[in-house]
Amino acid sequence: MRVSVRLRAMRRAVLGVVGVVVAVLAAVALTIAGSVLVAVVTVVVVLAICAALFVVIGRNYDSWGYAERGADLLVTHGVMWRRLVVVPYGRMQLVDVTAGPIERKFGISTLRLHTASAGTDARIHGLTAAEATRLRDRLAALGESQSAGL
Amino acid sequence: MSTPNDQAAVGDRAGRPRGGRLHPLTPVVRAGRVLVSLAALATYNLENIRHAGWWLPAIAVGALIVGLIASALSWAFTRFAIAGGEVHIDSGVLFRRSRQVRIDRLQAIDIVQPLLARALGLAELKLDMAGGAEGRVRLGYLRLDEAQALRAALLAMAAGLDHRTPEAPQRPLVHCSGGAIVGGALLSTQALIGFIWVVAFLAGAIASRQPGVFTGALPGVVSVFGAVWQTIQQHFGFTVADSPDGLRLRHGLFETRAQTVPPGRVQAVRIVQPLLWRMFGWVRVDANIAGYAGHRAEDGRQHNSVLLPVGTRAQALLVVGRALPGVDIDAVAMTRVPARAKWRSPLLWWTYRAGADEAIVSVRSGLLTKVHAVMRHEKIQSVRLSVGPWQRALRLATVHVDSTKGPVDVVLHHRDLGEGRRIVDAEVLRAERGRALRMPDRWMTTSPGPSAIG
Repeated sequence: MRVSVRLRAMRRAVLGVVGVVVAVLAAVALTIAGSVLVAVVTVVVVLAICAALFVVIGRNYDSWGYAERGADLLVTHGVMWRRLVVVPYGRMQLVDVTAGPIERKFGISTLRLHTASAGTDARIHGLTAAEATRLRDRLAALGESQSAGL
Repeated sequence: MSTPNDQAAVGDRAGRPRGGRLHPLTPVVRAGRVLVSLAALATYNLENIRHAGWWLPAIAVGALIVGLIASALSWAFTRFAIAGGEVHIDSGVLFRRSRQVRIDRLQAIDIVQPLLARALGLAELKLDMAGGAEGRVRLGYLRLDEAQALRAALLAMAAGLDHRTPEAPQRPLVHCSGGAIVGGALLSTQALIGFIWVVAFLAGAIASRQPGVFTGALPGVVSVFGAVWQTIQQHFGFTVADSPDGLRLRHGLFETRAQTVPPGRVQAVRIVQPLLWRMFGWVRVDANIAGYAGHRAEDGRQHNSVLLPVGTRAQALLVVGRALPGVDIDAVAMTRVPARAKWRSPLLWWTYRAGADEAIVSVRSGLLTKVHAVMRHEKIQSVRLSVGPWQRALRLATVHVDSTKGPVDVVLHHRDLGEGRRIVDAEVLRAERGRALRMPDRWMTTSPGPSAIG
């Protein structure tokens, strides 16, 4: 399963806002400081970095995936640092669904799985609110039916 | 106070049990511990105290009295009872707190006797439930024989037997001599660094003819050897015994601790061999036990996850054999990692070995300190595969087999990428099969009763 394209949209929107703010601030500050050339070069560099990050966000978005399998949930993400986590339903201790203010604006949330292990790092970013609720309820039900002590 | 066996019957199942009180000397022991920590604080700040006026002892005495009154109030408002497979504890002076703990969720029971409590014949019972520090229940202080009877009753109930079942017999497995404990602590890597530190600064002081160079290093030396001393104090007289109720560990020089880890509660074990221990063939055995995680805060060190502080490899295998029944850790065929891993981990790549059979996954590594970690498949919490950029170029992957919190990490570093994927699939499958066949939580019953954790 793929996560919602709104995750990519949100990250790119945040990048755009931050990039424009940084570029404008740098341009104004450097122009006041008296060097228009440096200001132009800085803005170009900032925009280049933003363009690179724009591509990186796309690639990172493409890397996210999860699968509800018979006895476990599989989550994978990462381009440079690739990660794959398999969590058996019977080992889930609790399922968290969180949504920050920006995530809420874009109608997405983050789902986190906790087991008795501190190492389990199973997060799914960019689930639509409906999908997050469905997945949470399903995982809770599966966790209950397959629960396996410690 | 009634005997614990009567207490177990106290409290009707429907109503609120009134329950028994802790021993009346409890406030004295608690305040005594405050005194000990005050004394420790004083010795660390001897120089400042000499210049202080009369008010310092006054503050100390005042703190002691306040502590005594607070503990006495807390004692007066605390009651406990055991009923319906649960421990009930009501406590709190201003904010009343009522706890009910299901005994079948028990992960371990400790009987702890600090020096003062020992002198008074008292002991504290610590029940470790799964769920970290919040899951720890302390019943203290009780008379030692009461604490032992209560432990027997709780273990019997946790095992699925009647609470009047007498304490299970135990069979000694290993006893660590005092010499081995002291030697082991002095030859630990920690102490070795301490010695090097002392010698380096002593040499520096002599070379520069300035004693200040050496005295400047003293606090570091004190903390290193303080830690070594703590290890000796805690592990002195370590005995491991086996009983139907699980592993029983007894240890401690001044503060003694008797731990009981019921069957099936050991999540993972590791056999560790620090560099200097090789000349004696000594090893240490640590374990992940769910209830013990997260108790570091209590005294800054996690010491109760040690199953054998120092012993021969044969003794270690004996203990591991009891902690993970039916497992032969030397029978697992181990494989090395591909030689190209030397580009990612030039020093350690040739020490990595890993293998698995139907019951366990087994990992060895370490150049100076050798570590052999073992875990049953059914105890796996999750399986992770990670590939960094450098690893990807070399087609390598690291597989983490996650256990509960504790000193043991089972990590298969730098396997071939395809092999790593196969390991993940195989571990998940074996874990699923293992969970279906696992031992019941109530170890004296035959069916996997209500599960401990959902």
